[in-house]
Amino acid sequence: MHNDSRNLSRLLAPMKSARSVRVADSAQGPTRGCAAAALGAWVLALLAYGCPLQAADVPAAAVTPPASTSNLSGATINFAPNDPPGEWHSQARDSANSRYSPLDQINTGNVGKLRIAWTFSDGTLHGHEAAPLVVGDTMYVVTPFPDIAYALDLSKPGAFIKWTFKPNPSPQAIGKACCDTVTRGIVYANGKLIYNLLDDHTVAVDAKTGKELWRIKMDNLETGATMTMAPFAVGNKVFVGNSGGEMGVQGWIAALDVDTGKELWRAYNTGSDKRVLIGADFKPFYSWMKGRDLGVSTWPEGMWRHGGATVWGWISYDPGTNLIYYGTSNPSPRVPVQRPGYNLWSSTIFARDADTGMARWAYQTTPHDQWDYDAVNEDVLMDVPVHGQVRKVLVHFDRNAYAYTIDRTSGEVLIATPFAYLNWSTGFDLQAGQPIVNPEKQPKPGVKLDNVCPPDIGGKDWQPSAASPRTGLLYAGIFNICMDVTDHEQGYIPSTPYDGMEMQRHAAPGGNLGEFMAWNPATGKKLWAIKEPFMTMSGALATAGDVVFYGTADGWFRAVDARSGRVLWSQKLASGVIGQPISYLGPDHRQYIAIYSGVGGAATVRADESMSGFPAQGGTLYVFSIDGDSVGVEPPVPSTGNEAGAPVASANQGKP
Amino acid sequence: MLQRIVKPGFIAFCVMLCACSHSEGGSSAGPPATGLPSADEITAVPMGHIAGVIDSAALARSIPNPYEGNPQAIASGKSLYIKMNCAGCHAYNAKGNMGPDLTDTYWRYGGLPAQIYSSIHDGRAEGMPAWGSALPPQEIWKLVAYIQSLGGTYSFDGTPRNALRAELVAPELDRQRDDDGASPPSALVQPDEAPPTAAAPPPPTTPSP
Repeated sequence: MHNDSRNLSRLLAPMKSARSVRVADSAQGPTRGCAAAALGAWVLALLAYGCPLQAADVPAAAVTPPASTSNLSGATINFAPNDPPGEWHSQARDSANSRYSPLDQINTGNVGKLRIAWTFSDGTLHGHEAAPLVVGDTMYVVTPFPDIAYALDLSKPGAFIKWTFKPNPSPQAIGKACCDTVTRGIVYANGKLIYNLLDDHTVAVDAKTGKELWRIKMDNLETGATMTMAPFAVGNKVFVGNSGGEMGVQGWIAALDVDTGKELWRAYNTGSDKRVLIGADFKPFYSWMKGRDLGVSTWPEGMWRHGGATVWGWISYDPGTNLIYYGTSNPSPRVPVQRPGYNLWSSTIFARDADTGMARWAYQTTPHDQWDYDAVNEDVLMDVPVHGQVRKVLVHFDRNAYAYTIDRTSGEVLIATPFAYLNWSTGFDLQAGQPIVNPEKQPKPGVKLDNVCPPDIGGKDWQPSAASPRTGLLYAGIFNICMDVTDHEQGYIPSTPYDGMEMQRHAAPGGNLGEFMAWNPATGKKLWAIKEPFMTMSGALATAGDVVFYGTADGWFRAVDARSGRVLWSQKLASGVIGQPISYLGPDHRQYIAIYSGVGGAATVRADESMSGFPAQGGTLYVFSIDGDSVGVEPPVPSTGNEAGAPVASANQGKP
Repeated sequence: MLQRIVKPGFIAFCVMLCACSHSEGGSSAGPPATGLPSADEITAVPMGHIAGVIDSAALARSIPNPYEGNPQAIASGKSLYIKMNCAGCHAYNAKGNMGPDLTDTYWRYGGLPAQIYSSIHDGRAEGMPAWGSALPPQEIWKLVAYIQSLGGTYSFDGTPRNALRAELVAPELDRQRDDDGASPPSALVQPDEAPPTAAAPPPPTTPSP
């Protein structure tokens, strides 16, 4: 048996030399008072950690907070590439990954009048995680496997299908996808729609005609690799990465030419510095990431070859420094005693030069991950005053339940505080830049370890947050979940899971599985939170109308006051919501909100075996507007009084 | 002992499997006295209907699992289920994740013992690997025995193990329902020692990479 205590002491070594340890509060202690309850917020708004739940029935005459235009954190955002305000060209809308719409026709005053304008069934079940795109007067959507793309004509009533693209990916990919046969969406670049097929091909489609322009094989299904992430484009380059952290694949990120698909560079995330594109410009901030070929030496002999560290999440870009930012998945296998060492560069945030792929810095959020805490969640780029000085940062809600504000020029952690319930760590050592591991929550093979929090899917998973330059806050759906876990030692068998983690997930204290929250990146504090009985695994949308949107796994889509956290509007959709909402202007200059319903993915944790309230699968896109008005539908004409109580019918339904 | 990562060859597999069964303690589940079904007998059983219904053609050629109900074989099968990473796709409780639920009565490719054997041996179109080149036949039958012990399969005569869906059984067998089940239904033909004189079975479908 290898020496567990030696392994543990190796992990703790950096902390022994720290002289002053600034430790942030752990999740168990209350972090703030209940002062904000005086806002008189509606129904479910409540604060983090220890604040008593407010009564649901607040009288109608409750005090509404004074209108406020203040930015609570001082944070600003660069919205490059500054696409037309009524359009949505990429999953995150912009390079900073703000997911913020500058439209404000829909605002806190009228959002209660949102109604369904039209819907679109895409003919496919399974988890619908992608956002639709809007370019000009066309909307583009992609389905889960078999990854069909549709173009919808927004200029016509009912937005019928302009063209359909059926790529016919290999069904072999179905059995390799750990977490449902999903895709996280398309990117629009240079007149092309570029997205990944589950069977490891990246494909480009002419946006006008729906014809295939190029298709490149990026990885091999026989190794168990699939592709689920949404490509990310900057200028003439598009960046893609693979999935398969549970299959023992080799994780990588690559840049392709948008027009031809030609591969410009590829960086692996395990292996030698040459393979990982680490060179003279690489300047990691913390000690355990300094050294040569750490992508080999921080693993037992040869294990980096099946080390995971895939790239299935989000990518952001800073035009000021020409750096892209992304995170890598968990290490393989998911049995940590089999791989003592830091397991670089798994669970790591990378900054890379967009042109060459060469790494500039790296920061491993969970060194020697033992719980499947990938680092793939979005890095939102903001300029934030921290401790009195404006810093160029990225804000990152990690699977490990710490929310980070990290200097994006250097990889220095400025703030790291818990945003969800956790007990795998007893605190954060800012001096060393590492969380302090709770020795009682380290899994050992064959031993059932109860109540490890958060579970493998984390305090938050890939579902992306949104940021508002008006409030200075970020908004995110997070989890309140724990797991009972038993590890089983794994052998590596190609194209089968290299996993070994047997687990049962259940709610953390409080009993709610989900929560939608507002977060201050300058202070590392939660402002308000809405508890949800079911998982909150949808993306968030922030808008200039000071309304933020999110959806729940049981199918509710909600509009919330961005400042107070008051729920202003809710609509039950056909299936659970795990997609990313967007907002756009139609050709009628009307603001719309669009969101997919179709539960699946990893959003399948239920309160109990009865699964009461959990929806069936679906695949329907919903588009909302004020009063449900849209192209071709005139607003209702008031009754002339000829027939008492009978309004004149709405005119022009279906008018071309 | 720390697991070393060895790209497994067939020999390495056999060594590991033999070591596993010895380390469990007690006598290992050796081949039954009657011997294992031949490859021809197994492939003669057609792939199941998509809806999981068992038809008379499949039943006519159905053959029993020599290890069915054998406690040591079931324990071996369970161990294999974990070590061969079946649990990774089908979940540790076999209720399904990336791969389907193995405890319910729905079998896309057929729920008779020989059909389940073929699914494991040949692989299937939506990502089930083909284990025939890596696992010897008796190990696959032990895996089938373990899966049968979970209650969702059909006996070789088409009887649902958990007796939930009698209507899934071929109509011919319904006429036999009134007897005490002592004699096998006449619609069945038990394969004898000689290979069947029917046309050569189709080659096993191994999904292309």
